[in-house]
Amino acid sequence: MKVPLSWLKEYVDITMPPEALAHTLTMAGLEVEAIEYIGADWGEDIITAQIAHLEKVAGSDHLSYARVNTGTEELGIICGAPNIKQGDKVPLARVGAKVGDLSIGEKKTMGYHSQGMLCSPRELGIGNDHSGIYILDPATPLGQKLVDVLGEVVFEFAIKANRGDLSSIIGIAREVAALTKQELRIPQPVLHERGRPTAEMVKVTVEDTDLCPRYSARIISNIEIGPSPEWMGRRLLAAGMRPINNVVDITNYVMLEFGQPLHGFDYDLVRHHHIIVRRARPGEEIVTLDGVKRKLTPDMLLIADPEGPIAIAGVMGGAISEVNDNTTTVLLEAANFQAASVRRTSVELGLRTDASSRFEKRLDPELTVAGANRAMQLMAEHAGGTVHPGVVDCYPSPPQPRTITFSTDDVEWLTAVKVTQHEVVEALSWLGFIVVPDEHSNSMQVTVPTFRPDVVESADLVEEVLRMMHDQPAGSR
Amino acid sequence: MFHQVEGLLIDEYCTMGDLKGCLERLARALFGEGRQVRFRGSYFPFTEPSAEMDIDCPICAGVGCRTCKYTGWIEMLGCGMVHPHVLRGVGYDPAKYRGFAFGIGPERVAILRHTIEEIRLFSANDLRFLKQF
Repeated sequence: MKVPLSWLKEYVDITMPPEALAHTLTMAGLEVEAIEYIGADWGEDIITAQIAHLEKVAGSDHLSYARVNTGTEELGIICGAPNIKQGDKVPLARVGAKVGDLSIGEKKTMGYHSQGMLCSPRELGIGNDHSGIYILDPATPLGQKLVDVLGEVVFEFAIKANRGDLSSIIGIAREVAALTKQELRIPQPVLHERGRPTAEMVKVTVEDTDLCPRYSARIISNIEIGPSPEWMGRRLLAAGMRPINNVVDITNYVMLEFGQPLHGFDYDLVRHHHIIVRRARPGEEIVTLDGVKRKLTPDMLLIADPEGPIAIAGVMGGAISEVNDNTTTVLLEAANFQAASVRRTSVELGLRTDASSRFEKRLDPELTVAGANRAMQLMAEHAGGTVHPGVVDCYPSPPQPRTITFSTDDVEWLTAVKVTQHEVVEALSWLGFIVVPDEHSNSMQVTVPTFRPDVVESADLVEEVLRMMHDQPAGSR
Repeated sequence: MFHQVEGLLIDEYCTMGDLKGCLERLARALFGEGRQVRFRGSYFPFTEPSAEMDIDCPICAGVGCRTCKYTGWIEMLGCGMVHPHVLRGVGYDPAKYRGFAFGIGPERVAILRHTIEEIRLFSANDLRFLKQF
């Protein structure tokens, strides 16, 4: 899982240099496999500039001549990209800059002096797009080193199979907060709900609750599909995802942020506005989003409408009800599917996705509504829609929180480390456990948060305490 | 193909401190007295708590090189305290008995100890290679 640090900082203050943080997390079991420094090779001579004037080069079918303002001077640049216009802010590689393997020098082309080059995302190494110049946010100041504007440090984490909660930036922020004793900030979306209630617009029937413990649905109408904001696209790219459009990008953004996979259906293409969660019938087929027709078997869980399958639960949506350029109303699915079932379906189909790899690690069913609400807030902000009141939420048996009787003796029994009751209470509380210490002994009652289904008994808590003690406290004997 | 050397000890007394002491001695016996050793939190289904043991890279002495991916550390093995499930599974009460376990890939040790750059040499059945040990 790739996490840009600027994104992580939205939820927790980072108080140490990236390398020191990587070490702290790695020692605590959250292994940083690699640190990527985006923009470290841009140097002093790739800077921000604005196109002050643009004209076609006579005798060329695609070249134009731009006068660009760096804040302190105006330079002339020959450029072949079709997407720039006067007023755009762009990355400028001045004479002397190195862009990848290319050294930028002054050139004379068709009677014009060119004193640099404007750069595409691919040339900068921050995306695959080479169809045009990278257009910067209109608020970007001029003459800044590009690394100060677009530079980024990205951690690549190896997430252990028992920690589905860490397949999210907030989950990682929670560990950072606990290990560095900083406050955790989780977005609390405020929604302005209007129009018909969701429950009157869609019906959800979960036939196989064993494979789908929770299915939450929300609706937003009057949206306009378009590109997502520049900052969101940049974060998705740094995290290894390709921006597509505002609605799809927001579902991906919230999946990375909260760890809750989301799927947007075009509401008008869901027949009878009825969602049915059921096992596939013998011989059923679906064409998935990637255009591939797939044969389904009766042990696979489907999302269907009354006329047929519309998605493979937890794996991939179907082409038939996909969000497209004409979509105006989105039916958003935020569901919890059984880990083993998603894993089996994904293996049988040879189809592994960002969603399936998260469900395989067991997700917190409490996340669905939080994720759906966050996506609604972002869609209202960036796709301009109306959020309909309420959530249709099929959640027949919410899991009871688990409570474990625990004591400092349990830590000493397994590790030979002596700890005080206070230290244990402190360590577990930082990680989100609710701890009620016994006043007359060194024991305590520990309630496990729903996002930690991996913690079942006292040995699991011993590990949590140990992870929180930095300097390898278990002494060798 | 996959080889693993396993260590397992169950008694009424051992702790993670004993596990660490035992593995530190193993690392120093294999790679020299001066070796630095560290334990990182990890996850294995059969142990809890679990850890991975790293040694400072014998190739570059911890400075950073290609073999240790410029971290100065090399992962040696996985280990931990035997999971209570495992103890209960064979009829031992985890409140009375405890144990530690570790697993090492022998090729990995040989590669580091003898600076062998190609793991496939171990299974190539070439007597010129095998007779060196």
